[in-house]
Amino acid sequence: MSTCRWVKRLNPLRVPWLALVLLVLAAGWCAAEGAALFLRVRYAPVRSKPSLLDGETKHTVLAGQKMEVLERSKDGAWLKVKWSEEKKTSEGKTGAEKKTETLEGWIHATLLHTQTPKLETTLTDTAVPAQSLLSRLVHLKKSDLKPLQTLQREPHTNDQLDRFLREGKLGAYREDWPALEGGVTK
Amino acid sequence: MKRVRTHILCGTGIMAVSCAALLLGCKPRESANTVSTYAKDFGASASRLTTQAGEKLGLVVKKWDYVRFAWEAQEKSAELTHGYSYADERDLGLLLALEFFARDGCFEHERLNPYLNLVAAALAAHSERPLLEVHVGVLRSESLHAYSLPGGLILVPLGALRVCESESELAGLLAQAVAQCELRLTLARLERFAAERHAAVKDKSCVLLPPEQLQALLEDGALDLSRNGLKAAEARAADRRSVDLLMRLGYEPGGLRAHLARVQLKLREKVGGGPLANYAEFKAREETIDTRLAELHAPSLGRTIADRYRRECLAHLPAPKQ
Repeated sequence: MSTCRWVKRLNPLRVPWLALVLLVLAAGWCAAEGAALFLRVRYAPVRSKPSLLDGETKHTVLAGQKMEVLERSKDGAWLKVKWSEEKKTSEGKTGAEKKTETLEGWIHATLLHTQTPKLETTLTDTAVPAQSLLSRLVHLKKSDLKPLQTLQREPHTNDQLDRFLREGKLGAYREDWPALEGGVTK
Repeated sequence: MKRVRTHILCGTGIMAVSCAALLLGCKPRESANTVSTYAKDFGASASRLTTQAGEKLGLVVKKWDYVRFAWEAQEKSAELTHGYSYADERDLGLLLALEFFARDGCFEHERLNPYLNLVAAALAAHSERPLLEVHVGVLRSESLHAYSLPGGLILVPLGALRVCESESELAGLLAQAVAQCELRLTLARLERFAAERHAAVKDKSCVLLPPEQLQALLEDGALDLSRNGLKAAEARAADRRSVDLLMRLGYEPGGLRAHLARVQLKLREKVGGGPLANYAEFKAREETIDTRLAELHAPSLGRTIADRYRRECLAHLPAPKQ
């Protein structure tokens, strides 16, 4: 009842302005949403300082990770970002307990993009689609395709790849990493 | 009069709506442009660093940089060759793989296959197609050459694995194959092969061939690939790229050279051979690798990792056929 009265009292001349204010607010909200950036490569180091040579690698983030920009370095090449990660804490009575942790660090602006990266379609998704080449070769039996299973299995998880690199001190885990990141070394 | 005023206000409202919509549409594009502007600026400053800082300090400076590479990577991974979709490329690779498996047989081991996949995936993540999913299969053959098929499929014969003595050498072998995937050399070769045989597919994708012709093309393509391998210039291009991949990942860059030397020794013993037996350009390939290493001022900082290779790979290989 009170709402109807409020609507009746509303000056019709003010309605377009009210709509305009609402629209501007909505636009601002959408723009803020657009400021979220995504990691565009398979994985990348997040550093403690906005420099390739100083500081250390604090975290490694994976492709598609959504990040919020906090600030920009003076030269504009580095972005201080914040993101949250789910981590298993302990095995409780109800199973594994998960804790969301907010992490921060500096990442090079070139590694981020406004859109999520288009991951090239996995083989499991496109095993034998209706109009694929494989299905067009009509003489092929299911048993003929059996050896291909070795090439169709999910090869590894990101954790396994991470462990593999850490064990071998490769990629982001190499000891000489800062010196080799386009930097200077003797 | 009142009606006129309402009309004017409505008009203003509509204009405001379109302005807001325009702003909304432009916002993400602006930030995308800003990101790439940073990338370009950074690229320029990085190249300055390599010349000026290096000269002043008298230090050896790396000529590549990881960040710039990572930026370029995304741009290139979106490209498609001659209208092939990724699924087409992968299907062509699978069909070629079928030919190889039918001829040589497939070897599988629960520890060996995941290990090979991890080495290849780590290399691919540092290539210019970092989002490409690489899959490695093992052939029951004593050939010494790994085959790189379209869509990130790599086939490694048992013979090639036996020749390696450390993970850096295996990485050298796989880096060559990943580089071929990255440069889409096998796909280009298949296209040329198709164009020579079928005038209808000139400048078009060979996926368009009728099933029978495509099947025949793939059979002959697989045979041609295993007999003749890549052209010498293509192999050298892949060698250059593979040195970059090994350096980026942190493997001993000389691993590729060591692997080539071992292959030469094996060929002299006349064991296996495959397409490498037709290459008279071993020396040229070694020179290409040396030149690239010199260009990168590559120090011997990389990992050789022999223990893990013995544990995860050599220990699981079956005895060679007599």
